[in-house]
Amino acid sequence: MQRIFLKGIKGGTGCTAIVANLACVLKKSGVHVIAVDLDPKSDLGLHFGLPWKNTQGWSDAENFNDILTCFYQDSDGIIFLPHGEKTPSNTALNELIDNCNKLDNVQNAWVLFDCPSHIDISNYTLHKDDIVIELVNCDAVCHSLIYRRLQKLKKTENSWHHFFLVNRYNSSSELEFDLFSLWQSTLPLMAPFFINSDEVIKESTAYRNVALNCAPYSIANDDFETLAGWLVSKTAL
Amino acid sequence: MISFKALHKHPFQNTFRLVLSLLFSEKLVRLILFKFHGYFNQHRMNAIEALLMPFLIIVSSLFVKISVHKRNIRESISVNYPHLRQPYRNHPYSNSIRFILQSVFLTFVKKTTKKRATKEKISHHFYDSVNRLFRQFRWFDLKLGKLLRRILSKSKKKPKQSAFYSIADARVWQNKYVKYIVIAFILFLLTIFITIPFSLEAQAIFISFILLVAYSLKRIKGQMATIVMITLSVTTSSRYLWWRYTETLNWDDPLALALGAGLLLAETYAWLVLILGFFQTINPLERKPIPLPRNTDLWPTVDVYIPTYNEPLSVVKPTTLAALSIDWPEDKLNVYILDDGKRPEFADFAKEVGVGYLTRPDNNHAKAGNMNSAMRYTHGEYIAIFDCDHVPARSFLQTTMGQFLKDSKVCLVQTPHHFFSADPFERNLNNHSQIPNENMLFYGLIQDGNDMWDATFFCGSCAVLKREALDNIGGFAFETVTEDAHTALRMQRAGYKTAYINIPQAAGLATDSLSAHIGQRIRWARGMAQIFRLDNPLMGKGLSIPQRLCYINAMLHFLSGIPRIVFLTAPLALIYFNAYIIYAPFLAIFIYVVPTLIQIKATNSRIQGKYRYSFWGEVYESVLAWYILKPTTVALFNPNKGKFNVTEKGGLNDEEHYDWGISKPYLILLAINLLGIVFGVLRLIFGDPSQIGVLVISMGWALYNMIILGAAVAVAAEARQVRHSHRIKANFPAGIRLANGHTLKVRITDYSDNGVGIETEHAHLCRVNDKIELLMSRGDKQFSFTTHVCNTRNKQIGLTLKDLSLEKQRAFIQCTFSRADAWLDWQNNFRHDRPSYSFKEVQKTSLRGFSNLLFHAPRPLQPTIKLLTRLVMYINSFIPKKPIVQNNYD
Repeated sequence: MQRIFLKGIKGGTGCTAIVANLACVLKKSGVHVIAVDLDPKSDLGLHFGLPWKNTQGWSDAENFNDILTCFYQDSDGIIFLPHGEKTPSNTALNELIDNCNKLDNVQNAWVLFDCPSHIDISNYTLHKDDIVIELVNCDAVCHSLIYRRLQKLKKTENSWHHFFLVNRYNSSSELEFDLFSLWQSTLPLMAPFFINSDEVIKESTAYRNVALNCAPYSIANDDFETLAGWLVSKTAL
Repeated sequence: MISFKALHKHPFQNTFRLVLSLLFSEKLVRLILFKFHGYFNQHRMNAIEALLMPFLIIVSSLFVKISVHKRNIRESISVNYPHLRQPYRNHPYSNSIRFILQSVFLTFVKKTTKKRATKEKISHHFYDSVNRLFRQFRWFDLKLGKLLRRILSKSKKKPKQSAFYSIADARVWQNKYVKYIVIAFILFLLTIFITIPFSLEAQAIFISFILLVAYSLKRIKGQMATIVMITLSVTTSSRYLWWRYTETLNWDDPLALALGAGLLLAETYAWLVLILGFFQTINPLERKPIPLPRNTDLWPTVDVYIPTYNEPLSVVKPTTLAALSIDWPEDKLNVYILDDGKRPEFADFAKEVGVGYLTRPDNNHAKAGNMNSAMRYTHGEYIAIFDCDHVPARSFLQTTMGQFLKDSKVCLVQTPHHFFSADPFERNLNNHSQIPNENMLFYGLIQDGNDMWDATFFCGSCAVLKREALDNIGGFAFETVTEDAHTALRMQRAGYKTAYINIPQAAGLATDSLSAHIGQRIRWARGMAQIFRLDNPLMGKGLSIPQRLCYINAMLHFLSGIPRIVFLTAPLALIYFNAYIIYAPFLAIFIYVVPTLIQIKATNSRIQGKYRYSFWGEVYESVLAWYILKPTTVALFNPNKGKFNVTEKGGLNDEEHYDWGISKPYLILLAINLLGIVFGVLRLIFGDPSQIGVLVISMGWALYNMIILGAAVAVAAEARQVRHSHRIKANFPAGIRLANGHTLKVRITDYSDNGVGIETEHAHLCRVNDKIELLMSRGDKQFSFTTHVCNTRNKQIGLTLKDLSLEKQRAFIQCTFSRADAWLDWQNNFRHDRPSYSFKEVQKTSLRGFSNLLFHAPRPLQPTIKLLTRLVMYINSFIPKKPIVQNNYD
């Protein structure tokens, strides 16, 4: 079982959409994917076509057996777990993550966690093989936040693989181009690629679908494929 | 019955009817009147014709059965008389002549179905036996090929090592005496094969045996077979030459002797070039790049020189920007524009992009002087040189510099000159990237062959030189107009090694008009002749024998002017002056000349097939022959005359035009060859019958010359060149972001310095003038360019880049021109030569040349030519034609 935690370095970096699209790419390339929403906003389901009225999720359940009834499957075959309405405690959160290990009924399933940006990554109990991807946008705030995070990461012992990935990159913006060039040449832990800014990611949620299904000829589609391929190569190490 | 009232109404018609009814029955009267109305109203005959026509039909029906439907008659006329002019009525006289001629033709020639059947049977029988014969021949051929393959593969034990090395490095050679004995023995054998006079029959058997071996070698790959082919060619050609010298000079006829001696000298020249060419290309080295050390501290400093004189900034800009983006440590790469034009806008540009700008007070010694002067101001250990229109790829130094680091004696690494625009030959003949162009042979094969003998030529651009070596020989040689070749020669004399890497690492513009192209070749030819005189590679010290031979071959190549003209006129000696320039019986000529030529052509096609198609070399040479004749001769006698002329590039031909000035010599040659053939035909008819054989051979030769000259003439029709910047074919992925924020994956299909052609995977919705962001990647960086759609077609979009900032221009060059893989596939696009196909192409080109000639003829001549062509076409229209064959399946 491969666990991947995706988290925005701040709110609104487009993390949930990435989780949904990554799940879709992986599923399409034959990997069993389980997407788990750890964010109290509970909006991951919307990307998979879950109606907004449906608010039930794992946080509402009493025990893990109840949680098992909360899983959904979308038309592509992706299994996902919505968050629900309550705000769980830290222990409940970690309990769920641990319990997810039990879900490994199929060999080599991947579990993608959509983590909220306000909970620090150190609050989760992480293993050696886990991959944490922090999403950043190319702007000045993220620039500062990245340096802050890197300092923090340097201080603490962390055993997991940590990466930063640029989302919504628009190379025609001079600031974004310069910042990204700077990060690429100076920062460690940068993923060697980026997700292009694309209108279709916004539009696809309006279609209650993922970008991958809406615009197979977009570069965003390629970007997600690159991301998936890169992750596979990382897990193989 | 006719009432009188009606008579009163249509007096004429009714009177007529009345008269008719006295003679014919009522039915016939109605028919006649009906026909009359039809002819008069529908066929627009005049009244008398229309009146007489029905009677004519009635009368002729007494003799001929007119039961066939009219449409069938019309059909059978159009089938059997396909060339009658329509409408038939408008050409009564000419059509009647055609009709008569065709009828005569049909009555005598038209085959009945029965006859055809027997004929088919006979022809079937014939083809069957031919097929059987062919099959037997194939079987024999196959066995022979297998046998040879077995023999040859036995001698090649190590498949990895080239056959050449397995011979050259054999242990036998270590013993001095064995070496000399073997060489002496081989020479002895060769001498015997070449000099022993054979009777005609023996020669025929000998040559057919050689041809047979050569033919069966055709299908065997590998170098050993090539070496065998070369040996055979050397033997046959030397034998031929020996025969020419000893037996074919007519000592009794001074005119024939003089002309024959001229031809013989030309043939000797050709033989020399052939043998040296074989030597030069026997084992092309095909050097591979050597990786650089990981530690970039060990990498040397490199100065990039971009010499320019009068080229516009738009040409120099991409080169400079691309030179700046060559992958090399920034502190070890210095780019300099060496401006002999001393233009302030160049200085500004250099300052803006941060490259050095060097000028000098005078302009002595042209390019060599310019670079020598620059060497006083720069201090890099190595100097890379790019002509200002050669855009380097980012990998240029990575590919080349390894050679220097591996061997400190290496002073020059040359890479091929690749041209992304069509050269005048390609453009005017419209065969760009279909037929290998003129300089493909040199950069694809000859340079690699030279490299084997450590005699790589320096070609003035796309090369790296070691500064230390240059300092040793006193800078770039400036005594000749080809400073490049001379510089390399000097460095080689000083004991330095040279290297060639056949990977295109830069690309530039080809010359844009035939006259400019010829001008450039004249300069090279003159320079070579100058070197020959001033610093003869045969003399002087420091060079090895192979190096001398390679240089001599290169120089001989540029002396091809006189021999080529001799070959183009030689057959006329016999036709016009009855001078036996090859004084031998017809059969002897046939047995010696034709097989030798076939053998040589086959060998050359095998060696050069990928880089030069058969017969095209002659076309290229013929175009240049006249023009390099004078400068080389002058330079041979007075090497210091003449000045450096700059090759002009990057221009436009606004109009399609014909360069009469350039093609004048060929027109004259063409005219005398044509006259010669006409004269030959007359002599065939009225002359001495004993001469028919020689005459036919001479006329065949003259005809061949005419084909070659026709192709040469075709080149002179300058095609229109519309684009200001050349489009370069490409195929790599990119992306676009539309104005509405959507992105699309695309492939770049072509690009130029201000535009890009892309292809989407699906039909797109872009419209002209839409603004589109083009996203291109270089390494892990993505660059975005604002573009406008200038044209769209189904899946294709043409984009123009407008007003890019300098930074963006640089990024654009990095993403396109200076991609490491931008020029890699240039040599792989061509399939191996097939001589027959190639000859057909030359023929086609030649025909086009002739039609061009008529089409572009000067205005006062135009009416005459039009009249003549019309006349020919008119006469042609009278010649009986084959009936149209129709498929009647019923």
